[in-house]
Amino acid sequence: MINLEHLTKRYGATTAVDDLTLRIEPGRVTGFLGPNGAGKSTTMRMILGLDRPTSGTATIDGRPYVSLRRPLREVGALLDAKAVHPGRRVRTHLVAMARSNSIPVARVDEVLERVGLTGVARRRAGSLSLGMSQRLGIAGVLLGDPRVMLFDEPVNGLDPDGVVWIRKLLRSLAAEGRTVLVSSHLMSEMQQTADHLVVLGRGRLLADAPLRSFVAGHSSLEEAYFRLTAGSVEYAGEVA
Amino acid sequence: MPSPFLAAISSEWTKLWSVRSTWWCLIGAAALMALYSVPLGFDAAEPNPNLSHADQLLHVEEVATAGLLFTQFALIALALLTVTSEYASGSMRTTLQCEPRRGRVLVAKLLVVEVVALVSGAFLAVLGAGLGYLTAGDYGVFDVSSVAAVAGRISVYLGVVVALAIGLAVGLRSTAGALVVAFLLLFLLPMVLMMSGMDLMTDVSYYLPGTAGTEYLGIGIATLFGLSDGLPYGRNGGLGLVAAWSVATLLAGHLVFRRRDA
Repeated sequence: MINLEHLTKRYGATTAVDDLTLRIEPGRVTGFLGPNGAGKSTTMRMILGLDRPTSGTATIDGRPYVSLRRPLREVGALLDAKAVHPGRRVRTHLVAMARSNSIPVARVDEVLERVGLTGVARRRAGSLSLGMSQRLGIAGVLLGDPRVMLFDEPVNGLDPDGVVWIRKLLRSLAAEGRTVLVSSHLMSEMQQTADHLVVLGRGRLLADAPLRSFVAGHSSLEEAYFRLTAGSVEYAGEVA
Repeated sequence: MPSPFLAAISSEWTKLWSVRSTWWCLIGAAALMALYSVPLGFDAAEPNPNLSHADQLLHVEEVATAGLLFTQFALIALALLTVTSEYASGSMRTTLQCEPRRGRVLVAKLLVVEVVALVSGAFLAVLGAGLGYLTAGDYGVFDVSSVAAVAGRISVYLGVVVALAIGLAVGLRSTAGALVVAFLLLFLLPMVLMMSGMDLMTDVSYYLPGTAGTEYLGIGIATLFGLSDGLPYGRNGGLGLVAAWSVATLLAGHLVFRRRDA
């Protein structure tokens, strides 16, 4: 379970995350939605202790991330699939992660198999396509068999088979009782994956509701989302 | 199960040896040392009729120390890349997910790089002295205890400057930025200040890590400019001063590393 209490992050005059109080429950897929700049990624970084909150707290099962002794065994996170050293081989990247948390190296080969990267284990990470990099990032999440998992836009770059694969994977991870938080901009995908939705707009909590009640009264999740976030879009283009 | 600290060191060790830049830096260091020592040896091998045989002798341990003036930057690059390449690729966030205690990450990186610096320092000393000896013909003098003493000093010196490099790397995050500052502090700035001919500038130059470190090595930049008489410290004082620079830079880097968002 992830607990956010009055979580706030300001960069100078801009407030990226604004007094967010929220609980992300285990046993279900929680979709994390919101326009660009809504504060989703910043929230995830604060949960992981990468960014320091201006005020408020983020805890995992009652403890801040930085106090976890072997954090990969408790929390797995995929923030940016391309954030790997491009010259390091796929398998070695995971071996280095495993060593840092005293995870047996045999587990690396297990997760490579699970995400379908066994065949490219010797390739350098920089040579992977975005979709394969996402799989590598997901392998990193699974590595420590953690109870809590965060995925920031994991579907980007995956091929249609990959999209179906990750949908099933996320559903099965939640079914095992884990806490699964997934951000995405793909509404139709979210509608098929998430049980529960958290929607941010300009750093504020706009909705925290089961998918079913969120969509109720609308033709689709997409329509419901647009109604809710209409006033919160910061970066809007124009249609000629 | 190893302690989290040992685990962090093990992870950093794996990371260090699984990128090509580490190998290129080490090959580069050896090549630079060879490029410096071989011509020096051949030069010494040419008899000079104006000098006595004794005056022409090449004490090969001095070849190694002089060659280190340039060679050190290959190891400095190796050291700072352990930090800056992670910022460049974004993988510092993965590192901090694996070990969120930033001080521990910094110490693990430092220890791993120290091992490399100490071992390669001794290796480079023997390489430079050996190549100098092999090429100097009748004029090469390879005194084992002198070479061993210099090898020890080079190891210690490299150990100190790679710590400076890591401090700069966590403070500045950029490979180019950290490398330029290291080059300025350890090489260019002392020389420019000494060349200025102004007393104040010269006095300042005495306290820069480049001046102090090379004084410890025995090829003092101040000596090259004929200014060693003005130095307010000797060989060990030089080591103390450059070490103080490294400690201060590491502490400042640690402060920045801890405070800033990753």
